[in-house]
Amino acid sequence: MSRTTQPILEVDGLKKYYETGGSFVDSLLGRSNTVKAVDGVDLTLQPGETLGVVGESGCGKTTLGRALLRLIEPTEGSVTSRQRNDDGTVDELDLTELSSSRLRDLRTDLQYIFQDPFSSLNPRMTVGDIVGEPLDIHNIASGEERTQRVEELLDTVGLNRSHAYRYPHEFSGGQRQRIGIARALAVDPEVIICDEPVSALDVSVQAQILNLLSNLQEEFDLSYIFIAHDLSVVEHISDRVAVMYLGEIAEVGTTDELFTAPRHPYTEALLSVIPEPDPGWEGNKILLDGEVPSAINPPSGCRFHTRCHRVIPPEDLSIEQETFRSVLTLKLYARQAESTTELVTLGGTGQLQEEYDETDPVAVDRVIRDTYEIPSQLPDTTAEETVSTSIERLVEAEPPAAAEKLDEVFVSPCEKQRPELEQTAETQVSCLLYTDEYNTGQPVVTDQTGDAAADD
Amino acid sequence: MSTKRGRITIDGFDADVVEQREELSDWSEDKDTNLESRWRRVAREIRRDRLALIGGTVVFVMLLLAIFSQPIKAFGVTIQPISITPYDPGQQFVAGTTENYADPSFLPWSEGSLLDYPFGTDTLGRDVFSRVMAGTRYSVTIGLIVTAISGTFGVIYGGISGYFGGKVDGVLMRFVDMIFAFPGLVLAIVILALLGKGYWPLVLAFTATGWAGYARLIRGEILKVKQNEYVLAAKALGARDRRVLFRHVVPNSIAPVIVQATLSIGTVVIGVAALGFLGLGFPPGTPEWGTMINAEQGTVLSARGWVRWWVTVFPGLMLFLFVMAMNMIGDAINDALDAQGGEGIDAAGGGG
Amino acid sequence: MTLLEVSNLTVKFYTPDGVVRAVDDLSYQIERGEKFGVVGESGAGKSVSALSLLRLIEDPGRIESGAIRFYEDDAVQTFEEDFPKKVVDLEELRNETDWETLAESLDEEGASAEEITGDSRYAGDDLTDVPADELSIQRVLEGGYGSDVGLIDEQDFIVKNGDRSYIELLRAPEKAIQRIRGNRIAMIFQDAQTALNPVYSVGEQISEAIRHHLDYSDKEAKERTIELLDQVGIPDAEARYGDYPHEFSGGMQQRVIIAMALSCDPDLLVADEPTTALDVMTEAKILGELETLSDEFDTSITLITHDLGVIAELVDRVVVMYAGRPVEKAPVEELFYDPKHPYTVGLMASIPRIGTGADRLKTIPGTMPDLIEVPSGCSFHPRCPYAEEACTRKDPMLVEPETGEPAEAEDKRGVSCLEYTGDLTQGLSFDVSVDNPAVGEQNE
Repeated sequence: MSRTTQPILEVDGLKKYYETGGSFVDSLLGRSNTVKAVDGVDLTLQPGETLGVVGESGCGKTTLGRALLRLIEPTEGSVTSRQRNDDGTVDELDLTELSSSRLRDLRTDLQYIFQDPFSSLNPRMTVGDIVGEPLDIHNIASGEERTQRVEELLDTVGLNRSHAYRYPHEFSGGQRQRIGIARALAVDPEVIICDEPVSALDVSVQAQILNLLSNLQEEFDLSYIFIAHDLSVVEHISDRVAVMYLGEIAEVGTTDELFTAPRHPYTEALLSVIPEPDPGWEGNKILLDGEVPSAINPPSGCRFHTRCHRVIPPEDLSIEQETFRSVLTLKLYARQAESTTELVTLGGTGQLQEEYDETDPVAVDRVIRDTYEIPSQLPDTTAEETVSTSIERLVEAEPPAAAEKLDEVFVSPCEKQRPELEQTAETQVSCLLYTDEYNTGQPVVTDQTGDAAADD
Repeated sequence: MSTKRGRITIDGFDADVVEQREELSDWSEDKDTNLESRWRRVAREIRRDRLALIGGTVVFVMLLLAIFSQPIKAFGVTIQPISITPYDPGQQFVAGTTENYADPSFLPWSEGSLLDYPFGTDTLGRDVFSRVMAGTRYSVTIGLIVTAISGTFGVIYGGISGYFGGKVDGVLMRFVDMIFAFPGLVLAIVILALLGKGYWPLVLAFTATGWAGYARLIRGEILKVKQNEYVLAAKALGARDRRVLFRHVVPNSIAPVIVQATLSIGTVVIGVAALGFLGLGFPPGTPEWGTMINAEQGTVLSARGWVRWWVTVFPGLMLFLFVMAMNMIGDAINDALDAQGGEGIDAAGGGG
Repeated sequence: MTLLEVSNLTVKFYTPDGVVRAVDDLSYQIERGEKFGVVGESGAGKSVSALSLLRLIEDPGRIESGAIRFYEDDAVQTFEEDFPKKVVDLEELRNETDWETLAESLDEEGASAEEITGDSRYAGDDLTDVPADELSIQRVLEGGYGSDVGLIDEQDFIVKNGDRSYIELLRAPEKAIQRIRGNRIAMIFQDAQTALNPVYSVGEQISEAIRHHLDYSDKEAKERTIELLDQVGIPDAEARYGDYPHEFSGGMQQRVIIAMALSCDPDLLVADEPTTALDVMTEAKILGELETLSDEFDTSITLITHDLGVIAELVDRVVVMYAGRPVEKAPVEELFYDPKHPYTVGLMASIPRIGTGADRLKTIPGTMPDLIEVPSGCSFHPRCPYAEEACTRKDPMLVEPETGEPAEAEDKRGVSCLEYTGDLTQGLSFDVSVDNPAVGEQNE
């Protein structure tokens, strides 16, 4: 994909915050919380390309797709759309600043395909009316011409012309998704945002729809933003892929680069757990600790640091990265735990702990180190001293006090410094490991799909 | 064991063959599903319901009576000349003289055959049969008109409230709460006291509070329907709010309102009759069922007991018949719309 | 050792639109400790087949025919004590039976000699001509003739047969089935959110099941619940005991469901799309969890899914279903490296695989037929590139691909395609290659 052409869509610092806990009284008293669903996303979409957006549920990818088209109002940032006119000039419009009537006109260029083929079609309208509705709204065609155009569209997406007189419930999931695609195509758009268009479909039907989308892209010169959680689908259809984590972009790169050599530790983990339809395959799965944190109060610094298996130890501490990860986890859990028992179960690996005396510092020390896989003696004296003092505090006081003690020494740069999306040789990545300060010169993450995968 | 992905390749499975070859059998994917619209299907369901059919017949006959019982005049021109009532409902002493009627034990049938005055006559010697028939024009039409007006207004009001949500919803719904907090009958009495008795004041008295129920009902429904992606899809196509609301949201949330409206026609008719019985509905002498019962309350409540029972029983029976019929229709519509929800069982489930 | 045997199961739904044949003549066995997979697209009847195992088919559905046998000595023993009148002892029957009369009445019922002897040598023979010692009581019962010829009572559901005693689930009274559900056979549903009752705390829901089935005291039940929650990887289980379902994330809710299913230490876990609603990361963890459970406690798992990736990851043997019927039955390696049925091949070809860089995916044209009006002959023929005229006429049987013999025996590979009975003239021209052939061959 040539990078020299001007992007057809350019997203800059897009944010979407929600207020929650929003009863009337709550909002009056200012008691609501802010959910940072999308928090400063930059993306570009080149003409004719497919940009995949992946991430776990709750990472903000659907919100991003909708905020892009102002189906929900973005809180901040801009979305620039460039449209070539017939005479070769280029119109540059910032979607976030358009009046609602100008925006309505622009909807002919930017379209959306929805995830759920069952709820995205009005059950009270015939297929002909559903596909013809955009023609009515934008006064594109009426009467005989409208009928003809609807029939053409049905042909294009592989449906029968006679289907125009039927109701959505008479169709299977795949056929309904085709109807949704025909509706989006009706206005002859340039860009289509596909929000999980195949995730509700069966495998064999999914393949049909993916092929249809590819064919349409070629035929009508479309650009897609393809939002999905299924990484193998994204790998198949995308030219470039953006990985989202907690409302931010972790990594963007061409599909090839990203899937063969992911840079961001999150991408690396995510790719490692894709189930492979091959019983003889045994990749090294990186199972991340815990769950995606809440977007109401996202972690400081790099949002991934709470789960990152490659979190950076502070420079002045001579400690193994793995050990540091363990102590950091202990610290994070100690912040929220209410008792030592809770702290132990939080870090537990599934096995019930044997009984121990909570008032005996030696016992507590052993149990905590066992649970969090911290060696009984750390090589670095400062580190060892801090860990043992903090465990002592567990006996005397509450876990947060221990966390406080750990905070004096065990602070990763990832907690302090918020990484920017930066260009590396291959992909754009938002991770401190690739900044000049921490870069070791080597790609941290090794090849994923090749034979030489030698992570362990 | 291998760590390499994508090792299995399959060649030679050529789907195009299927599309290019001639059909092997006459089995086809397209089912011959009936192309009926939703409402036609509902209508068919209702036609299958025997109770609804009885109810429908009753209401239909009453509507005919409302039209043909008396000639209709508009601006001095007779537009409906037919009159099927045996007597003018206002005509007094049809079966006897004033003296006859002064005697409480006088029976109208003594003057002629039973069929001359099938429902008897009232205190003033008016033919109850004719009056009951003419009464449909008041009771039945007022039920329909009140329901139509309050339903329409309620749907628009509740529709706007539910669709736009937020502050608009907050303010609009607080007003509805106020209406609900005010005793409806008292409000109706106040309106009638201010505007005087009559048809249109009654309509106003009932619509003034009646719409609030519809507004609340459809708002709740709309909050649900609004979540559907087709609403967002319409917005993504550039549809204006008015179009989204009235083409996509309202048609999908209207069903319970229709059921509610059908059932409440009966309620309104009862309400009108109740006001009539309290002497607040129509001017005395109007052949409206409630007012007729009111006019005879003296005899009903008299110590002599059930003297001239027919004067109150027949209007009451008509009232009962109409309300019952309406309820049967309402239930049938409800069932028919419910049956729409499930489109056969999903035998396999799972997978999507 | 077989734990559960499903044989010739047929389930139909009587809907206003017609009769839906959701499951048609499905047979399979699950071994003790085995992880068994049922794959198919929506409408293949896989969920219905799972629900049938627990007799959870509701109106208008009906289990028409077939048998589900549960081989669990413990269960047989307890049920024998509680339902002493519903027991059949095959040993006794054998001794008491007058074989000649039996052969005659069987003949009247229309049983064939081949069916009752299990020997193809007697195909076409008259039952009465077969030597008595070739007749098998077990086969008489399995063929469903037991009550017809007066050998057993219609309601006898406990069958004693030496060390191969079993419970006939489809004959068992509701009271007995209730004691099997959740206790011996537990189910994990796809949608954890609706499977949990929102008004009870998760801990309460699990301990209720434990108290009910295992007669634990309140305290013991609570302890066991916490242990279970901990086991399935819910951090801080003790504190979360009192939390309500909505306070858990989707992945955690699914873990709660698994904990609940495990609460009575079941012999068989039926998991219906357990990870479909979850993210890859959570899916990987839950699958790992299931694998450990199966290995540690020797619990058998029936995994029902549409996702071939999940199948490859977890199960040992697979049955592929299409339009209510099993089309292919094989060990997982053979299914992936050497699929035999065109539908299986099409399914494999249409999944996007990472690292292949294919421009277009292969597809299976069309959609699964609705189960009211299934195409004649092989129900896959309208979508099959290799279909011939014969496919529209002849109903394919599940046969061994090598020999073309019916694949009824437990561990035999089975494919239901006319190719393997020699009815196709053109043959199947697909080719499956595995990049690292050593692996593929080694597994064959």
